[in-house]
Amino acid sequence: MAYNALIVDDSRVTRALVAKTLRLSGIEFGEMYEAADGQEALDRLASNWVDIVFADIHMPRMSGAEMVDRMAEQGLLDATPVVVISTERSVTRIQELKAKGISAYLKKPFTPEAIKETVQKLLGPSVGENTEE
Amino acid sequence: MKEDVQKVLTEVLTEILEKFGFMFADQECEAAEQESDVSILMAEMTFAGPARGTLQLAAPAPLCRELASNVLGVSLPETGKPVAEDALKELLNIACGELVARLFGEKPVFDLAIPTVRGISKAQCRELSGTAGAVRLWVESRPVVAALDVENEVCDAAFNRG
Repeated sequence: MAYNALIVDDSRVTRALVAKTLRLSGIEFGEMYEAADGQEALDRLASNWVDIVFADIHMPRMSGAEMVDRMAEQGLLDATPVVVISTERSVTRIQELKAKGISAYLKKPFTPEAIKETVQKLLGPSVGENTEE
Repeated sequence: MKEDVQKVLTEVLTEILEKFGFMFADQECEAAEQESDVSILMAEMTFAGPARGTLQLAAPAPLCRELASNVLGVSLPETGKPVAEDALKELLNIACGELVARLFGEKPVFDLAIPTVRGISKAQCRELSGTAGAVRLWVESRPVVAALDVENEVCDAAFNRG
């Protein structure tokens, strides 16, 4: 089963880096949608099936926190886990984000292992494991 | 106290360059590359919370392209100016988040602004290098200048905490 991911970050370098890391994780990903801010992400979510969202917090137009609020209002958070990947280091703000309903937080710069472990935890322990025929 | 802040800034930049850009920074350079007409990019961002400040980071454009190439794992010809600028902004963004956490701890809430980037002249880069709180590192034999402007009394308090 291939999972569709949405990568939300105003940095095109980070979007490309996250997409590349996911592709190399051994987990089967299908579509990799990208958005440069929260509003663009909501537009992508409205028109595409997405299994997991990776989002930055500090973005122009609509922040990641506001995007999470909108997703909660639309009932999207139950079915679509949001992983925040950010330079944010304040434990107070990270706790606020967790209270809003994000599933995980990774600090930048992230490691490929951290992304893989997080995806496996959220989408299922067997995701990305090699299976012998 | 200024020396302490410069030390932290140097440590943070060195670590982030290594982890994010797979580049190694030195504080000394035996054989700096002489590039007379190379363009220089400067990224800048502000932060506001218990203290306010600005972090600026300047580097030669070819180094920014190398940074982008390393981060994305693509060849240099594939990294154009927008990607190089974006890589420098992201390096600054990550460094600023880490720096603020190290200077003030992880409890306070800081608002980090969106980084901006622009080209600067060599004279402007020299001026930046000479400002109080600036540090200069050598990466791939090319100079990288970072300057932190922060409210001094708040910074002093941060270092005296605990």
